[in-house]
Amino acid sequence: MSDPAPRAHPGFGLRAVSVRREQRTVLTGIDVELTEHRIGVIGLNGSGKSTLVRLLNGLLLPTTGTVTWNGLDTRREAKRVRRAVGFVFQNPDNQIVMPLVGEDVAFGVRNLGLPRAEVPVRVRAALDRFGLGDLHDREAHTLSGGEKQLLALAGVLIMEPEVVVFDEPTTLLDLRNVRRLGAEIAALDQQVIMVSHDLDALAGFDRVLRVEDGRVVDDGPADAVITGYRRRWG
Amino acid sequence: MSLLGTGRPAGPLARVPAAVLVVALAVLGLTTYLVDDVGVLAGSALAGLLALGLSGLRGRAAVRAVVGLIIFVGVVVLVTALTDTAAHALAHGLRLVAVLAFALAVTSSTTSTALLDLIDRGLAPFARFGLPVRRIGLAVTLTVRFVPEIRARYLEVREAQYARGLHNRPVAVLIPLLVRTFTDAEDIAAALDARCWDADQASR
Repeated sequence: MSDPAPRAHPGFGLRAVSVRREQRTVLTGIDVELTEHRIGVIGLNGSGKSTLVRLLNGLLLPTTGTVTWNGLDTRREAKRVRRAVGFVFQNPDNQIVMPLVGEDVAFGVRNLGLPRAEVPVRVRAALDRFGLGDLHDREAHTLSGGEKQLLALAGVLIMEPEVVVFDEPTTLLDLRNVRRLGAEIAALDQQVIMVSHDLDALAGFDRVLRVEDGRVVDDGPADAVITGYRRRWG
Repeated sequence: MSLLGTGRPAGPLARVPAAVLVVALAVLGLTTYLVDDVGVLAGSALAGLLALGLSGLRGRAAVRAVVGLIIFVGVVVLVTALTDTAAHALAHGLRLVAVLAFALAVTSSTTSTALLDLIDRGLAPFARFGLPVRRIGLAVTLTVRFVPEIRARYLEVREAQYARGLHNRPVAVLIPLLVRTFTDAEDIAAALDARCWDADQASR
């Protein structure tokens, strides 16, 4: 029996993209389409990885060039793009904006104008999915690092995005929580684009981009790109 | 979490809508400062303390709140008695007990979501005059959310500076704390954007 065809998504188009910040070129010459189901982004600290992924949902706009998702330009349709492209940050403390766990998960869907009566139902379902149901009324700042990252993910997924972008989501987690979060990410139906220093976590990905000095210097199957990266810097 | 940071409000007062509590607080505050009759002020103070009892505030949080109240009111009464008459000192003391006890009751009975909704609804008519209603509500909620975080960061920075031998150097703690807080604020703003928060969205 042949392998199932790899899934493809409407995806992102980055055309002649460059980003300059404070008179420094952070990214340049970026021309890629990102349609694969699981895409990893790797590179050294300061290479431009986070800048690249922040372009994807319009958190950052390119200095030159265009970034589109499903044909929507992030410059003109940032709100529509952000509804479809969720983002999980490295530090969940900066992503959790409400004092109570349940309140924080509800925050995103309230912004989308979901009828009030539906909000508690969706919140409960989102928390139960990640085993956080008992923490609904807990103060967010008392959660463990792993629980906070799962809470951040729950707060994003409740908005039913079509894509989830992760910016080094496991950097602050211990081994157990790295594995737990990894399992949750692997189970997602959405397209996933993930920046990570954890090369093992990207091993099963469909494609990996390596960013160096603001450019995409390698782009291809995960095994090949990661092997090249290890060889370069290992 | 209640506005006081004491977990989900649990007392009987938590079942009263936030708008009613806030209006009652405003009326109580106004009344106590328009009235001089000691009997009325004593009754108001008792009402404030009763409300505090009904707020569900218990344990260490209750002790901290009450001790703080006693100290603050005590200082004001003492200073007033020394600089003015004993009658005025008593009246001021009773006013403060009434208002502060009721305010404590309100903050420990109100969730941040309820307050955000109240601010949104209460200030909505003023949006047409350019008042940034949603931003005000969010600023209040973020303050409640991040006070414990900033405190934790302060302790981390202080510990790090102690490890470098920098004891009793407030500036050595304050500057890194401020830098870290402002850096995190950029990420928090990005997170708000990522979760589709819209400052201009009409209040529901």
